[in-house]
Formats: sequence, C-alpha cells, structure tokens
Amino acid sequence: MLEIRDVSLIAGTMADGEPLMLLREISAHFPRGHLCAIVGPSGSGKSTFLKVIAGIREPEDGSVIWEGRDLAAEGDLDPHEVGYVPQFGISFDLLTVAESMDTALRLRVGGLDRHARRERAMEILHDAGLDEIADRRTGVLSGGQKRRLALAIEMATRPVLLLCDEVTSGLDTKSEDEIVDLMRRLSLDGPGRTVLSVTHSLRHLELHDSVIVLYEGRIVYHGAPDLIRHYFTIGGPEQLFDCLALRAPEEWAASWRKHRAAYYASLVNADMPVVRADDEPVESPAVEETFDPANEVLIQDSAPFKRPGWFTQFAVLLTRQRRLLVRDHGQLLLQLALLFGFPCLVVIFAWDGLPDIQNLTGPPSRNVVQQIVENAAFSLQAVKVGGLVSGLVMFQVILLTLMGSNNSAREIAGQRAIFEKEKFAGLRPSAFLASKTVYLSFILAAQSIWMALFVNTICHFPGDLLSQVGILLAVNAAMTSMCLGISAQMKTADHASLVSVYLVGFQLPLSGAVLALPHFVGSITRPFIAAFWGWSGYLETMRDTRFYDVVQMTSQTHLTQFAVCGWVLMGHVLAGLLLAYFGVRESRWD
Amino acid sequence: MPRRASSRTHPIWLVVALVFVAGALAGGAYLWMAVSDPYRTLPEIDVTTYLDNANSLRGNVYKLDGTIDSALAWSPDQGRLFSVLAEGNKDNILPLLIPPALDHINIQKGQRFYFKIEVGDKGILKADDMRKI
Repeated sequence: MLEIRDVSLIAGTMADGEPLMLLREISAHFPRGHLCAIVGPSGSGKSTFLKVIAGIREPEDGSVIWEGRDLAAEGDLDPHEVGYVPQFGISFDLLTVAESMDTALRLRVGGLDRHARRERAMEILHDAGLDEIADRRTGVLSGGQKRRLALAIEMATRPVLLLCDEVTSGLDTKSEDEIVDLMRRLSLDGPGRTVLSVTHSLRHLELHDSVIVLYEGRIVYHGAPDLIRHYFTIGGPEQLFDCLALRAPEEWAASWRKHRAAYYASLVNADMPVVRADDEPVESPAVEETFDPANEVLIQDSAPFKRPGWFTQFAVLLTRQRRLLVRDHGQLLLQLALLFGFPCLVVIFAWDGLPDIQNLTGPPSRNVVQQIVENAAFSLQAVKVGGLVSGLVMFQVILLTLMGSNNSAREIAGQRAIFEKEKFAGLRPSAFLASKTVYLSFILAAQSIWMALFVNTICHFPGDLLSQVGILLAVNAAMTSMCLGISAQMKTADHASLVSVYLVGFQLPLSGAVLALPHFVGSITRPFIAAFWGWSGYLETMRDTRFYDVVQMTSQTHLTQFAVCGWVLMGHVLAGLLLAYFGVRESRWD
Repeated sequence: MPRRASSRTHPIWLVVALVFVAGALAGGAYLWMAVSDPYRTLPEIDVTTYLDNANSLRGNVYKLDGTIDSALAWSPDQGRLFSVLAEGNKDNILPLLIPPALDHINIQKGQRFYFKIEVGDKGILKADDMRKI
C-alpha cells in the first residue's frame, strides 16, 4: 500500500513574505491494484504531488510510505519497482517502436537473453496495442501512440507503482479513451499495481477506482468517482472546477478532513453510507483500519529482479548513440563537412607550403650599411613568416575548439529529459557518461588526426608529426570535455550551446597569440584558455627549427613547453569530465 | 535523507574534486620546473676557473646558460663552433662546439640556450645537449 502522510511542499516565498505552499498537509492511501485519477484546476499541485511520490521533489514535511516503509528514511523504492511517465512522451524519434522497447529492456532488466527479451518486448507492445507498428519510427507516431509507447516502456520492469503525469493531455477523444483503458488494464495486471494518473480531463473518471481532487495544494476529495456528484452536489464532473471556486480552499480541505474516513470506507465497501461536503460526518472506521495492508492480496513475481550490469548499460547506450548518428543525416553531413572542410580552410593560406627563411648567424659584416639592410630584411621576413606560421597553427587550434564545442555542447542537455527518465529507471550516470565519452572520443580523434595529417601534408610543417597530432587531439579533447561538462550543467540545450559558443569565442583574444595580453590579465586567464596551450604546444613541436624562432621573435606571448601544455590540456579534459559527472548525477527534471 | 531521484552530489565528491585540482596544480608546477630547466641537477660551469685553466676541468659535465654571440666556424664532420656569452658573466666569451648530432637545432645570433656541456680534450667545450629558452 502507498501512503502519503501530511506532506507539505514549499516553493520559495510570495511577495508578502509568506511561504508559497505547493502542497499542504496532504494525506492519502492507495491500496495495491488500484487506479486513481488526480484532478484539479491548473496550479493545484497535481504534478508536484506526483513528483513528491516519485521522489523527484523533496517535501518540507511529511512522508511517503510504501508497504509500511518510509521511503526517505528507510530506503527508497528500487528503480524497477516504480514507473514514471512524464507529461510529454519522450523517446528518440529516429528509433523504431521495437528498438525503443528493446533498448528500455536492455537498460533496465538484466538476465534476459535475446529470445526472452524479444518475447517480453512483443508481449508488452501487444498489451499496449503497438505490436502492429513495431517497425515504425517513433518520430512519426501520433500523440496517443507516443503516450502508449511511454507507458509500454515503463512496463519493462513490471513496476508495482506507476505514476502517470497528464498522459492524456492534448489527445483526441479516441486516443484518450485508449490510454485510460490501457492504464486501467495495467492497474489490474501484474503484482497488484498501484497506478496514479494526473489528468486535466474529467471524462472517464468512472473508469478509475478512486479520484483525488486537489485544490490549491490541498486534497478536497478522495473517494469513489461516482460519489463526486454527491459530495460536491453537482450535476456532473464538468461542473467540478466551477463548484470549487465557490468556497475557499481551506474550507474545502477542512470539510474533507471531517468526511474522509467515510469516503475511504466506501471505497472498500460500496454499501457504506456517505455524506455531502456540508453534512455532519457519520461514524466510520478510521482510515488506518480501512486500509490495513494485511488485508491486501498481493501477487508476487516469482523470479527476483536482476538489474543489468554497468558494462551492459554502457554498451547499449554506445550502440544507440552510433545508430542515432547514422540515422540523423543532417548531423552526419555536418560532422563530415566539418571534418573535411575545416582543414581545407587552413591550407588555403599556405597552399605551396611554408616559405623558406634565412638565418642571421654569420659573423658581423664589415659593411655597416649592408649589415643594417640584412637585419631589416631578416626582420621583415621574420614578421611575415612568423605571423603565417603562428596564424596557421592557431587557425587549426581554433577550428578544433569549434569542432569540440559542436561535438558536445548539446550532447547531454539535448537528451536530458530522456536521460533523467532512464536514470530514474536504474541507468547508472557513470555508464551514461562513459558512453558519451567513448563516442565523442572517436569523433574528436577523427577530426584531430585528419586535421594534423592533412595540414601537415600540404603545408609541410616541420617538427614531430606524432606530437602535433597529440597536441591537436588534446586541445580538441579539452574543449569537447569542457563543453560536455557545460552540457551536463545547463538546463537546456540552447543554454549549453550559447555558453559553449562564448567559451570558443574567448579562445582567440585571450590566448595572446594575436595580441599580447597585459601580464597580469594573461596569467589569470591563460590557464583556462585551451587554445593557448594547443597553440603553444604545437609550436613547441617545432622548437628546434627556425620557424619557431621567428614566431618567438614576432610574438610577445611567451611559449610554454610541450609537456606543460599537454598536462594543462589533460587537466581541462579531466575537469570537464568531473563537471559532467557532477552534472549527470544531479537530478534535473525541469 | 533525500530520495534517489532528487539526490544531490555528496560533499565528499566536492572534496575529491578539490584534491584533484590541487594535485593537478602541484603536478603542473613540478612539471613546469622540470622541463623548463632540464639540466638543473648539473653544476654551472665556473667561467673564471675555466678561462684560467681549462685542462683542469677536462672530463667534467656542466650546465651553461648562455647567449649565442656569433658563428665562428663550421665543418660537416666536427659541427658548428660558436662564441657564447655566459649569463651573469657577459664579459667572458666562451667557445662552444655544437657537434653534428645537434645539427637539427636552428641556432641564431642572440638566442639564449641551456647547454649541457662537457670539457673535452685540450679543454674544448662541447655541447652534449641544448635547449632553447
């Protein structure tokens, strides 16, 4: 049995300094094998109530109790025991219905071989009425079909508690009928499942075992659906919200507290007398007596639930990531355009390779005028070639930071809603982050290696090619990782993209490669500017060459040793991954 | 105790992150010191002693912090001979032979290097390794 005991939730304060209470002393009982509709006007706290039960929001007071266990104090429900279907069905548009179901099973349920998994998937899809469209991509499903898929996915673990948040909103009448019917069947199916459904719709209330009416954060009715008319003295459910407006919420709540026991009793025994909201309460059993868990008949699953291992979840996510990339032609084309287009942009400026330069190493000329002319020619040459070499290196680095940002800025924030759902259902954040890291590593390795090889082949940069590949890999990895961290910390993909674009935008001016920064500013900002370390590290690979010397002569920014550059960039990578890890561990539902 | 779905990062993780940042900074500082002067464990050559009696230092290995003054001679077999101004002792110019093994290093007048030098036969200074500063 699910019991909600005196739950209150505060969301900040109002203009007059009073606490803004989203839920006030909510108490309710729900037996196993029960379908309850939660209705109420907008802003009455329906979805918040569901989130408190799910554990997504922490109440200031009160407790949520499952089978006599306080879920906050004595251990939460296991992920497989609870299903939560948010307002908008969320799934990857590019996956088919069958693939979505299969992925859900592989991520949530362990110990199933391919045959058993397929069998269970088809069984669930059949129950949800989706078996005939199993090969259809979810992006082309109707609203009702998407909601049914969302419900089907939650059935992967056969949860004992199913929470549905407005799964019928925005649907046509037929789809709404189908969804309510499906929820009804799900409540009767399996191990005595409790299904709570938040809904705006007042149609089909009679299909529910009970109805909760919430009004400004208070329960003002919880009883059999056919007694709503009687309690509120209304002609039909459609008049309910108008009726609520006739009295203050606290009056409705006080009235309900008086009559609650009688209505709960009538839920169990249809012959019990009931009363109207403005009647005096009649004798009835206490709520606790009415809902004695010992009286409930439960059907237990025979086999113990097995959660999939870390590596299984990692592998499933990586496979899904690859599949999504291949099917997203726009994203694939963009990646290919960046991969092959950006290096071409670099070599345009040195199509014939780097120019030759001559040294001033000989003994001083006896002819002073000739010496001055030689010095002037050398300086001119140094400025020209030094600027070109420095610019070409920085251009590669900046383009790779741009690619790094594009790789990862939306990677977590863009999938956050689905990830939160999957995390709620038992996905390990570390497995999710590891799959992203490996996926992005392949992409950034292709970008960096190709950039280094292509540019080097055309421009003939001197120095150790392997070191050049390494430092370009490091700078791309640093920016990819930092933007992944940003993506994990931001609320939306647009925010993450914007912050990442700013980060890339600051790279060139704050690197000191073009204009030298004041020493004080440079020493503060430089540790955070990946482009500086990439630029400096790349030039250091040419340290023994005259190109390095002319860059040193023309640049006022001091270059740092290759090993230090690599170290700092690795620090960026790890810092970004830490940021991402903290971000994915945090709960970010809204 | 917060429930699973609303759990926040445990403070211990922030401590771990701070330790990581501190470790990274310390490691970076050590690395920077190590690579910026790779010959820091060698003794600096005493220029005055060398000029007084070069033979007395034969076989010894030193560090020299110097600036290229001028290219004096070149031979494909012997390498390049430069005059070098020792840092902190700029009145004294030292002759330094850069062997062909270090031909890949571009050397220009006015450039400063750390040299790992060996006092050879007849007191000739030969660079075993060198690094631009």
